[in-house]
Amino acid sequence: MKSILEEFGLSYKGDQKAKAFVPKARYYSGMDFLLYLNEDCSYRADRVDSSLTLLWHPSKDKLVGLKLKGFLAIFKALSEILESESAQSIPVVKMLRFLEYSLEKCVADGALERFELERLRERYEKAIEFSESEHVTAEPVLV
Amino acid sequence: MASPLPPSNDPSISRLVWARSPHPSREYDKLIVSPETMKGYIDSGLSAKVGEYLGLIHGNIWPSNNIEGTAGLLDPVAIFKDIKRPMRSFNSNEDVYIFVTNPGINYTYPIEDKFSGEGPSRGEVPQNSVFLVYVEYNQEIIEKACLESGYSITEEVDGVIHSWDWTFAADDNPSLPASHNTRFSSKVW
Repeated sequence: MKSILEEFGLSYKGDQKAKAFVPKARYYSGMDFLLYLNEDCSYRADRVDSSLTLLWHPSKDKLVGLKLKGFLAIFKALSEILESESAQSIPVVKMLRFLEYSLEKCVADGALERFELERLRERYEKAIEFSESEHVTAEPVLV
Repeated sequence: MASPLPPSNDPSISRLVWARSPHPSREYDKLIVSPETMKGYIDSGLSAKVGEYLGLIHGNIWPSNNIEGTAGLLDPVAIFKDIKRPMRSFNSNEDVYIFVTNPGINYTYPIEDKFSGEGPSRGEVPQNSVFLVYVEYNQEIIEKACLESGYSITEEVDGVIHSWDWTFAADDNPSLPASHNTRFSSKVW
């Protein structure tokens, strides 16, 4: 039977083993999200809204990662604002603050209730705190 | 393409799986896992994600070691349609279906066997959670996935598995994901 590595064209030569886990944000174009994990585990996804999902340890009250969804649109919007940085990696904290700010606009436009905003902001702050402590950055993607 | 009999997944081909069809015109669909997703998870050293795929989506990967498998996507609790969020430059995502299963078990790859041919082993089951699998039924995406994974018979494949997660269960219905009434457009099965 072929190993998974062989079937997906990722066979390594000689004694080289599969790559070890390293915490790093990676973009997945299929579902258009950025995934960051600081631990290799079966996390529990906790949907905050259409842009953010918090990822919790399978059995502990501990944040282990996050997903930024609809990432192409977020990256494009932020790249236009941060013109000089558009070719560089962008700290995920900036993206989260941008999304959090957009929530305020939703309230102003009547698309979101004030009490709902407070609930969402609390969870965005959790993601921001986590991203800051982990120094999560996003590499540029083709937009 | 549809199959009149309950199909089973081929233990020697991990990239292809059978699933209950969300479309009323047929019973089962053949799906291919996105090579980009799988390569990304393998390249990132995510043993848990690879173990989940092999044990909970394919479910029949073990060569001879008597580890219990699962029915994978042949026995979902529910199938929802449309994730109601921007995806790839705001294009529609009505072709995306979400399979919900309640496997009650979980799989991973032990570090010493990482991605070898021995198959996954049992892993920690996330608490208060259900398992979600995101599948896109789109011919252009199918052709791209088949091409990238070297599978030439594009017309035999009905959809592409892009992603999968354990997700918090709903308080009022622990077999379904939290917010299932608002996060998807409709329940189709």
